Amino acid sequence: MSPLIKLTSIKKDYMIGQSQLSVLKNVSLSVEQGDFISLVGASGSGKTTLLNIIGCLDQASSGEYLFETINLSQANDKKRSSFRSHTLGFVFQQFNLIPHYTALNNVALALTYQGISKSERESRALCLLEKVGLKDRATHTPSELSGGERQRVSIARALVTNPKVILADEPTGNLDSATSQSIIALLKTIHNEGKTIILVTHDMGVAKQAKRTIYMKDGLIVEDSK
Amino acid sequence: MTIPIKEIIFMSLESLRLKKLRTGLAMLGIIIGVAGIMVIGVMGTTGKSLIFDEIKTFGFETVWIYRKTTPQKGRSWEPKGSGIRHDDILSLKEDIPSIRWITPVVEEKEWAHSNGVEHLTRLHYVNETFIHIENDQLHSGRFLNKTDIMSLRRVCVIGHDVAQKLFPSNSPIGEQLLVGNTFYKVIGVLKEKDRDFLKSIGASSENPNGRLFVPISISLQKNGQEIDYIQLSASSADLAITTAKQVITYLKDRHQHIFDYHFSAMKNYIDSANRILGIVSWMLGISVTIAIVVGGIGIANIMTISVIERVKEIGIRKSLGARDPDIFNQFLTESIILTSCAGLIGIIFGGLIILILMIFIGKPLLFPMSFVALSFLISLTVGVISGAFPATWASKQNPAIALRYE
Ligand SMILES: Nc1ncnc2c1ncn2[C@@H]1O[C@H](COP(=O)(O)OP(=O)(O)O)[C@@H](O)[C@H]1O
Ligand SMILES: [Mg+2]
Repeated sequence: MSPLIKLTSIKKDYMIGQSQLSVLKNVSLSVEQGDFISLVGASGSGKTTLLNIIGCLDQASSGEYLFETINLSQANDKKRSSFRSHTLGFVFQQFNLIPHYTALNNVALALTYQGISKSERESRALCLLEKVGLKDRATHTPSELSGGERQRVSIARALVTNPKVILADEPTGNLDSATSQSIIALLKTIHNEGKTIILVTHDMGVAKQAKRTIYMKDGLIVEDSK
Repeated sequence: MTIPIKEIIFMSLESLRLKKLRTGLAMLGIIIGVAGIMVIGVMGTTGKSLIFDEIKTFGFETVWIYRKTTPQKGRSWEPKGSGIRHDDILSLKEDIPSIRWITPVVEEKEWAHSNGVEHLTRLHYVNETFIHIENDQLHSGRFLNKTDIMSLRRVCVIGHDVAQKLFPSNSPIGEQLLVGNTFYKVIGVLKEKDRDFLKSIGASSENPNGRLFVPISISLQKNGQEIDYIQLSASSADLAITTAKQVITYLKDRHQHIFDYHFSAMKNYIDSANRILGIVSWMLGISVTIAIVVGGIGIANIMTISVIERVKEIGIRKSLGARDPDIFNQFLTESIILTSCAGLIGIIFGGLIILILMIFIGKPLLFPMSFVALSFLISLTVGVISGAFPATWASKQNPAIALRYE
């Protein structure tokens, strides 16, 4: 069976003034449908950069990126944004909710970019808020929610489009350990429902809960424990 | 697919509502500019029609021909008289086709008496065409006709003020009026003529309503063939000047070059009025344009700040699948909503100023709808222009970098 995601010789360089900074040096990686991968490594080792390339938020300087049979290496804005909208769900360390939107509107916004009607958006968003246990917080804005609640809203937002893959970049990085545990438990549930998850973390306790852990160092994958 | 405009408008309104004070201040420039366009437009059209209504009371095609009294070069003696005779008029009318109407005029200041009331009037000996030349309207009765002139009837037509002074309580028609030492029967009263504005700028000194018109033939019998001056109407305003020059050449030839003549033509006044109105509207137009450009820069400024502040939001939206055009449309729509709201407020504000001016001046102002449309169109355009750059910048943000933004 061909992998869901196949990265081949991915490189990412930044030009800083005259000098070139190689953030990803030569990364090749296959992700199977239904994987739960944790991506660990020191700060600055290139985890976010790799996740952003997988998430089509950034483009590799060279290398090939295949998603199923679609080549995304040189895809244009239209293809990439459609891919983000329909296939991916993002969860960030900073939650990245829109501050003046209610929880409901934050979740529903993901459906706006699919051209779905307001009433359907709202009923689907409410359904997801219920799933993460925040139905009664639907009309609250992010500033009225705790860190754990905000992250639940952002998980609901990542799930509302029913994507194949969840990309989570240190989702517990801003949370205390008890709250972290409940978020990880939620992610596990989602995984058990069939989602492929890539989870960036530098908390080894969190990383161990995944089926597969990938270690990064200085822009390279140094260990891949299946 | 890009998302529907309805959604985008909704999003934009939401973000604008968030920064009410800033949004309001950014709109001020456009509001003032648009209100300015409205007021200037209304004042301009009203002013123009006011001036032209008054100029019309002389007739746009009217020309006056007088003898030039400055001495001719190389001549030690000066001939006496006006240099225009009544028979000149008849042959002029025959020989110059661009003359539509022509009348001889003899003017005298005379006391008019009726019912023991005395009033100093300006007596005009004219022919039956005078009423057409100056676009006069009859209030009652009729004007002098050919028969009155041919049969030297002692009849007169009086101006509005003369009628008011001498016949305050009864209709003057049919009444006898003693002018100097001649009795005239009043056959007509002219409608009041308004030359207040021209008078206020010194362009017209005589009261047009204090005149009294009697047949020219009476003057010919009393004073001989000589008349004071010619007043004529050319077949069009454009022909007025050439007609006047033709008349002058004609008169010189007829009088063996003893006299020289000069003319004045309403066409010249119309041209200078148009020139002045043109300059004024250009200057006002430039100041309003400056106001709008400054307003537009204000909008561009606020939109740029807004985009920079919301880089993170742009990153979030892109991570959720927003395409570049979606982001562009969102910010452009915000800018357009901002300026068109400002435009609408400016139109209302301008309308209020016009209303107040109308009450203040006490005259109805002409309110051309085209200026409302123009103002709104300009605000829309400013919205597009000032929003385009920030919106482009926003849409080109790399989402990975935008999301790192704190
Ligand atoms: N836009 C950028 N320009 C220059 N350097 C960058 C940029 N983004 C990330 N980097 C650098 O790339 C390296 C890897 O960053 P990142 O992928 O965020 O690491 P991690 O997520 O593992 O902490 C860091 O040294 C960071 O400074
Ligand atoms: Mg990182």
